[in-house]
Amino acid sequence: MSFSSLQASGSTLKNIQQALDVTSHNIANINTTAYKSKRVNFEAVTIPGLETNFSGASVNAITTNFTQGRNQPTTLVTDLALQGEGFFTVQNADGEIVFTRDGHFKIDAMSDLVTPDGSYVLSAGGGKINIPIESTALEINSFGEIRAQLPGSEQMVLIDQLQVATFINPQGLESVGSNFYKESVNSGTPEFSTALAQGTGSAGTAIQSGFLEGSNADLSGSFVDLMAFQRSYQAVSRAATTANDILETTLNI
Amino acid sequence: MPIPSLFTGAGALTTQQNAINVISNNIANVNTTAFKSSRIYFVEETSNMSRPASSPTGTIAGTNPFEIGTGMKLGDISTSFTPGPLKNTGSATDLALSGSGSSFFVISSETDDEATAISAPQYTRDGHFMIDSDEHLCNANGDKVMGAMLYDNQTGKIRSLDGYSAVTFFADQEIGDMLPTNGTSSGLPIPTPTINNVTGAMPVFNSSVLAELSVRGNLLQSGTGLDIALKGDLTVSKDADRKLIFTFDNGNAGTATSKFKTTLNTEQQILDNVLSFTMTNSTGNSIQLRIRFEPGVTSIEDVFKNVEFDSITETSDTMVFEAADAQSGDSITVGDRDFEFMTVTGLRKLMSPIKIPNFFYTQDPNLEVETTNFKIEANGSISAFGPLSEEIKLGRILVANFINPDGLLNKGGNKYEESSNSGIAGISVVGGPFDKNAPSISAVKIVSGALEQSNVNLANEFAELIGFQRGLQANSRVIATSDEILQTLINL
Repeated sequence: MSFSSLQASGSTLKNIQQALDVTSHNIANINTTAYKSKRVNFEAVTIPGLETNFSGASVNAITTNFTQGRNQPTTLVTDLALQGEGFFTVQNADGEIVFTRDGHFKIDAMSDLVTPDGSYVLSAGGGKINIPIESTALEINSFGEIRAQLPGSEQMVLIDQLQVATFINPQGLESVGSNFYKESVNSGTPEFSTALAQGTGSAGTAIQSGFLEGSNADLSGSFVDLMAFQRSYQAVSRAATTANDILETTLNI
Repeated sequence: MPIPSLFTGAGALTTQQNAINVISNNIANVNTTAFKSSRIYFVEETSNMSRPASSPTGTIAGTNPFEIGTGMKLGDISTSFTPGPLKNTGSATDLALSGSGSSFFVISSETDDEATAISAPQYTRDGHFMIDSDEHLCNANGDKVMGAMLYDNQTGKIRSLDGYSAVTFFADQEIGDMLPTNGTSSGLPIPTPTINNVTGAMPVFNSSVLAELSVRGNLLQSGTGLDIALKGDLTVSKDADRKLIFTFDNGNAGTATSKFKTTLNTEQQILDNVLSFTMTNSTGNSIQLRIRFEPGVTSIEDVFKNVEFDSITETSDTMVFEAADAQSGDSITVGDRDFEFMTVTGLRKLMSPIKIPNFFYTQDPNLEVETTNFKIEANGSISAFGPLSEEIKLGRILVANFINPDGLLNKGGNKYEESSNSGIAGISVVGGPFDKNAPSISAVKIVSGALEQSNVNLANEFAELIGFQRGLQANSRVIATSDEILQTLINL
């Protein structure tokens, strides 16, 4: 007689709770720009040498689902959505290069293209993007080319082009909050290119100006998960009480 | 025992509530004059990393990071300054700014005293103006609308422009068309040089400074094979030998190549009213500058003999002249340079409150007539008409332009104030010359007899409202589930 079934229930409860945390994170981000939902994978836990004797379930992976969210119109030229894989590259206040699919950008007092937290959006050349202050109109095409109309001219002049980075394994990226991702040892190194650039990872990626990518969290699926995890939790806790009853019976012999 | 999902749900619930507050403010202002709608943006909260990623090795493939999110938070609330549709009101003092969302009327509680700096100017696109008992153009709060006035608010006469500084201000047709037609005028009395060969830039006027000879523009740099547009400040100073020093600083503080200098002898001749000279920096690059003067000016001495500077401050090796209370005859030594103050005539503030007088003098200085009508044109110029259709140009409405209007502080009452991220207000005439801070002024027009309506799109607001309501409900469900799980746990 051992306490293994009681211990198995305890660790499984903890793992179900983690799954519940992931699901509630998805639900919380149902309206977050360019949010990518996460999924929990369980595995059966076995005791080495006793492979037939299962001792509960544990979370073995939390994977990010990078499928495209729906692009929603906003009317602002500097709101950009990526249609296809890849990320905008941004330099944050610490000088680090981070990646995002949230294209809600703005122009600051120095006329640079920035994110709301003040990080610089990078151009194809890897530098800041400065919109000439005297521009009278701005447009960004599907290649991410930024054109401005300068005073005294009817023509739109090419100012710069947005950089788009792709990864071999985007799942391996580290999410650092505020919709930013960071390269990790398992994501592979970024391939820096531009939208619709032939022969690169972003060959099939277009930029849509005046749109933002919606969250890809699926509310109905998340609710089903929520209910399932809740029921699993109840069932496992029932297993724990049963194990406890058996132990009690045993002790009372 | 707290469980994370409870707080994930609670945090998201609060943020969704904020979003509903923003939407309800937009909906509440659907009929507010010149209201600009706001939009809320969410971002993901930081994740808890329970296992970092590992890279592939020869025997084991890499693993992805193991992160559990903690919900979401408020990312940004930004205001959309797209122009709203216009609505006709028929009242001549109702003004709408059309064409660009980043231009604003300048309003202030300023008096007619022109010697003091403008007190706390505010900016508005709500052009519901009226004429008060003091003949000022003002809004319903009593804030006065600012402009460049030819009509002298204190004497009640149109200024004779003779005797003012010879340097042309708005030398071109932009403001020339508002001058009296008797041929005696020589331009508005602001001593700011006009730079002719700049690209897309004109002077920026600091409304609180009386006698600043500072010009910002994009000057062409030659000698590098390419023409590079430089942006910066031009300052003019006088040294002990009464020579003029022109310094152009492109603002790259700390770099040796940012300063271009030249020293001109005050006796230097001005040919065909144009003074042209080359300024060089420490690396030998040069910029060309041409300053156009009024007819009759033949030397630099002529230009500046009537200009007095009230005080001098030193910024690195650039002299900037600013308004203060120095007296005529005072002198000041800065570094190894000596400056002497002279009596000034004709320098006055750029902006003053706009007045539409009940009576005005025609070009005959002894004939005062009653104002029977007035008009405000698309370029902001204001004219009054007498009983016999005598027309007099009173002045021009000036507008403020911002690089980043989204950075303005909303002060309520449809009014905004400058913030550190809005950029400095660039003051200019409507549809007039570009300055550094006027992103889209060429398209701007004033429409008299109309008001700008709110730019709120109700259909969008309702769609967003539904989204946020569902978000709120979903998150309250998360809280309920987390609570039940805790209950299960407690009952173990």
